[in-house]
Amino acid sequence: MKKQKTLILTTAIIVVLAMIAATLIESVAGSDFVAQNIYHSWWFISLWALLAIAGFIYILRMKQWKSPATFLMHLAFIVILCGALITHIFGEQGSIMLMKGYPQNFFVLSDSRTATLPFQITLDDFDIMYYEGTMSPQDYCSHLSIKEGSVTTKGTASMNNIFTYAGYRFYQSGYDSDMQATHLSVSHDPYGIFVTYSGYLLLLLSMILYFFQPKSKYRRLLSSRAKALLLLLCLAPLAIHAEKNTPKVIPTELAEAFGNLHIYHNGRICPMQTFAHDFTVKLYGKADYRGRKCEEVLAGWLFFPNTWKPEPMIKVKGSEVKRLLGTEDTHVSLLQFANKYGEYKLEDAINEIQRGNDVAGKANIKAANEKISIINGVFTGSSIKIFPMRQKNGSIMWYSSIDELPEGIDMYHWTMIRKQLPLIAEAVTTRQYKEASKLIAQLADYQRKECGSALPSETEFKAEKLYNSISSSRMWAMLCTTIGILAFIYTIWLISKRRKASIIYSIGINAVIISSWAFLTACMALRTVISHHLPLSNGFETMQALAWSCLLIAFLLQRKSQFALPFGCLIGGMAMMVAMMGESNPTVTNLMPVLQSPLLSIHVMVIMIAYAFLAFMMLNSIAALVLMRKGTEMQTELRELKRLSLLMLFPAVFLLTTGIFIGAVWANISWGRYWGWDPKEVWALITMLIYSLPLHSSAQWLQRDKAYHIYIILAFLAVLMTYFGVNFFLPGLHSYA
Amino acid sequence: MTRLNYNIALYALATSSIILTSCSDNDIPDADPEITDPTIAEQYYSGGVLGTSFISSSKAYEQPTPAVNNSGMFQSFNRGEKMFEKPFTANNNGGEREGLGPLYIRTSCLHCHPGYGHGKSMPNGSFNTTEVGNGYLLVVASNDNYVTWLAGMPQTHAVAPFKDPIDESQIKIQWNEFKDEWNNTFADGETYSLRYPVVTMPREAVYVLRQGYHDPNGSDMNYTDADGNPFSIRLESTLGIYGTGLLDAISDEDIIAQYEKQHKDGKLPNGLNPAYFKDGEYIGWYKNSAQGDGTPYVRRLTYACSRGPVLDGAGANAIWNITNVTRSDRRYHYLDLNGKIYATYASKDPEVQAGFNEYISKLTNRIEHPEFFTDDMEANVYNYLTSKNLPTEMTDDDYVDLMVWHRGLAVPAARNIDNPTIQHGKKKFEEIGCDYCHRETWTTGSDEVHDPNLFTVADKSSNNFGKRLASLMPRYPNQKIWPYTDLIQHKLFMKNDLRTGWCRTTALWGRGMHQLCTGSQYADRLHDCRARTALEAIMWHGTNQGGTSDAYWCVKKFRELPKADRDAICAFVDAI
Repeated sequence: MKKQKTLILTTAIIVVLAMIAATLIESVAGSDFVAQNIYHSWWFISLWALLAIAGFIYILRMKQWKSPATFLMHLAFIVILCGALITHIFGEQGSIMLMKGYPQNFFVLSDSRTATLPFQITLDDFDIMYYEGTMSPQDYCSHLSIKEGSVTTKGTASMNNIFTYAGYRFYQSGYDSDMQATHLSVSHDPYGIFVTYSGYLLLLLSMILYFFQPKSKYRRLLSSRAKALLLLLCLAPLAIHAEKNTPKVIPTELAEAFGNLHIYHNGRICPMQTFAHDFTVKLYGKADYRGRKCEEVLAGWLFFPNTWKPEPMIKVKGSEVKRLLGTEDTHVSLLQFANKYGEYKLEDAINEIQRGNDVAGKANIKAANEKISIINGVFTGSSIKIFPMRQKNGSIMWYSSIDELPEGIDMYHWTMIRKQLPLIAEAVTTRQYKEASKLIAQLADYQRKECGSALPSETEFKAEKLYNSISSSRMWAMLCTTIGILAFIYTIWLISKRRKASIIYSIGINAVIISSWAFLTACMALRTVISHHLPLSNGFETMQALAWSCLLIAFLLQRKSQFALPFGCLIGGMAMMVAMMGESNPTVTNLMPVLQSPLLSIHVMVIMIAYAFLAFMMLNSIAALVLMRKGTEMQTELRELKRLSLLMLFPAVFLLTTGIFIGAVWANISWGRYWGWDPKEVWALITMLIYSLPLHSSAQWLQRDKAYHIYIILAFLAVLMTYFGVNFFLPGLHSYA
Repeated sequence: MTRLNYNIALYALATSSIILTSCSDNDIPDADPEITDPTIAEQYYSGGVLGTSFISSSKAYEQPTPAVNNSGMFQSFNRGEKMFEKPFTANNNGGEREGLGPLYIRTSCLHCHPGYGHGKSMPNGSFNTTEVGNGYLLVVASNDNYVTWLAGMPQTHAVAPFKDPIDESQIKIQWNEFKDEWNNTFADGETYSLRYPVVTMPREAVYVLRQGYHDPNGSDMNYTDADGNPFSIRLESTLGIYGTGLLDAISDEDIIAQYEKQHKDGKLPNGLNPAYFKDGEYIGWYKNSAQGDGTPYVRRLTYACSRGPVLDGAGANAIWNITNVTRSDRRYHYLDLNGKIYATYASKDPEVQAGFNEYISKLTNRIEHPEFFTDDMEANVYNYLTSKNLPTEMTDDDYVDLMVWHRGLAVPAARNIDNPTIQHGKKKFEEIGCDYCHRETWTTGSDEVHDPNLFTVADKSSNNFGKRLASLMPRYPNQKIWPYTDLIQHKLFMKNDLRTGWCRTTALWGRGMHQLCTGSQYADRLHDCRARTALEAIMWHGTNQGGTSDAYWCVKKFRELPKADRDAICAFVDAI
């Protein structure tokens, strides 16, 4: 028994070490090398097999079936590993290029051998669907027909739809620019996927079951005062540089009037302020800049571009971008994007990317380039579509002052579209603000007259403006997080002193919770008014909803646990921060089809919550180590802290596991393979394995408090590596986040 | 405090300090108050109240002036704009905007005037005129005179069966580095680099030389190297089009007064171009006796200062000679300067003869032009090329629209001119004497629009029937404008200088927006875009190659300024 345990632990450690080594080797020797020599090698597969078999025998000998949830959970892992083996042995993955009208009955495998299809497949037609009224693609569709014997079946493969036939799955992956040919990924792995998915399902069920299992370790933990809670940690204070440059703005009232104009933006008519909000957030990550509201910032860029060019307000990410720009700073000016001759420093890298080549820091370079495009949209005026004009067929087109205008346009419209913005610019530049305000009012009148009822109602307009002005959750997130951390520390201190909380503390933290909750409620209500649907449609909105429910639950549970309020604050704050991370990339441009799936946001969200738990556990362990230095008198409190930690460990590991598998399902839908040994995937797996160790009560040495807390603190390094390290040091699919 | 408390306090302090640091902002000050200093306010109006457009976007060179708007000419302006932007098609194609050829330089105006501005510089390599934005024209000269066997603006394209007068694929542009007498270094150690273009073209690239032509004066014989005398090849980039209407509105008297002042001052080493001003008197009159009545006008446009009023200026000429699109007052082709050399060799070329019948039949018929359909094919080709009564290809209305647009293009307003650094730059610009030639302001005259062509709109379908072109134009009377030019030629003696070395002081207005508006890699200053930045342009003024530059004294003063002042001048030059 003891020997077998050692064997399992040793194998697991070797597997983890091998995976760590593999990700490191990959960054030097490339993905193909590690795939061949490690991930797909006989010894690596044997290690997993050994782990599975030894583990299986061990749980049988332990008579684990007596606690069915735990047993099923382990069984699920074995099923998943079996599925992986089946995929490895029997699965076929490759690609196929179809020319319009030419039937084909083979495809090319990833090792460039060909495999025969038991049917003939033909591309009938290929088309691109665009977001309405734009040229940004919404989806790419290959219309296919399959002939097997005398039966013909028709179907469509698109970015959001896999075409499946006889166990073969076809994924849209590319097309020829003349639209005469399409490229599809082909995957044939009916049994592997079935087995693997069964494993996932089993795992999910067993994890749910686990919480209901009467004798589970978790239930025992729960019997204490503390209840299950969540949180996140993300402190990224922005250092703002003191600069000599003084960007010019227009007077606040004028900027407000400017923000009150309507604009056609993101496929809908909204207040100019929303455009300004997106512009500023996209560039800077916040809706205001150096004490100026977004509409003042936008007006500044529009009317005084030269004074804004030297302003370090463009937030860039990634060492490669910074290297290209020749700076260490996170906030750079537009001028820093050009060398002394005005040549664009990212030009070469962008050209490489557009040619389809892989470039270090690709995602960050693209993000930086997008920011420059957004500025260009304002510089050229092409994105300032503020001039509606009724067409002959009654529909309304929105023009920017540089758009090509219809033939035979009359003087009234022409003058308004071509001249009004320059006239406003003239008045503003020469500081005749009364004149400028008159001209803006004229433009607003024009918009109303031309559109009539097609403009958003007064209520919607006001709701959106109110929303824009309050929607910055940064302050609330910071407040909740800070108060949460301080309250947590205070609570530990209270426990260590065996004291009761002061009344001021109780009132204070309740005030924070209630006001933050009221803020979120208002935000969600306004979003509902503006968008005409419940605000639960994307990651940002779900995260806000999560924060909202956390705060509510914490408030309601405060009598049950001393930790409810601190944790509620923390988790709420963290969730808002995660939401903000999403918001700092508002969809100014439409999403690429492959990123539209809701699974992606769930995948990200679940993993973020798991990380939040783990981060909190790390803090908790630090607190415990601090308390330990006080000596033996703190035994009760220490036990409490450890219980708290374990209380979080279970959901953390479960969520992490679920997150990984949701990611796998998403990858399978998007790319036709559920596991690709991408460094981020591997590190998530490593993290999961590391954290699952303390779940096993049989690991005796970890039972000791000090060892446990140190382990938890050190284990957090794996989280850091997964979340940050992979992006910095290792290449891969996940380099966007 | 117990040790635990101490630890907790530290922990709390650290956490809160992280959060607090994010609250230290340095706020942007409020908007400037309503403007008080009228002298600064007027500096924004580079083209005066009637001729300035306030839009700082990449379309800044393409805006109509308020005068166009005020006079309700926007439809005409818009049609003219299309004429400028869209390419012309070969004159026998049956398509829109016909009339290209038989020989031509570019297919559209926009090819040379990207974003309506100055042409862009081209990198090392071939002289590719199909590239939009390449605003270079070749200047092939012998002893400062254009060679007679090519056009003044040599053509590199032809419509079949005619042969390209120059095979441009054989022309090479190469950029050489240049060191000035200060080794491109300021006293404080700041360095800059200078470059100039060298253009080479083998004899074989030229059609008539290939066909056996020899100039009796030998201009074609001795050419071998880039510095080659007597036959030199230089590049001249197009100028921006915006604001020409405003320069046109300056009165002749005021320009002559400027000549007289500089003559009296005697400050510049090379004096005034004797071809224009001699013995205290202006003699450089522009007269058009071919179309007009020979009324004299003061010259003011182009590097060579070769043109007077806009209505017979570079643009009015270019729409005809760049494309070879004929119009009612120019029913002939732009050929080599001699007028007969290309026609002679082309008419003898059996390949041209073979394709001529098919070509000419699409253009006209033997009833209207029997001289193109005789039994003598050589004579037919020759008659066609040298004909003075070709069918018109551009209607008068189109021409009017183009001229309304041309004269109606606004100057972009100065940018951020009230910034203290830029005002400081302006002060230094004046102190060291840049403004002696780059004269800051002019006030336009009464702007009685002049047309040396005396063009009368004769299109019967037009509402303008029988009207003089000049009466249909937007006008800019009594405007204070800021072009930063004295409209007089000076000599800079640069390496590989332009033909004759005399160059009209360039108007600096709007040039700082060149990269934004044209998408060019560099600022492309100076006649062949050799200067990549304003600083390089300034330093080229003091290079003294084979003579003393008229601006040498000024550049020396510039060099003595501290870096902050030099930078301020460059910032100012880019802001106006």
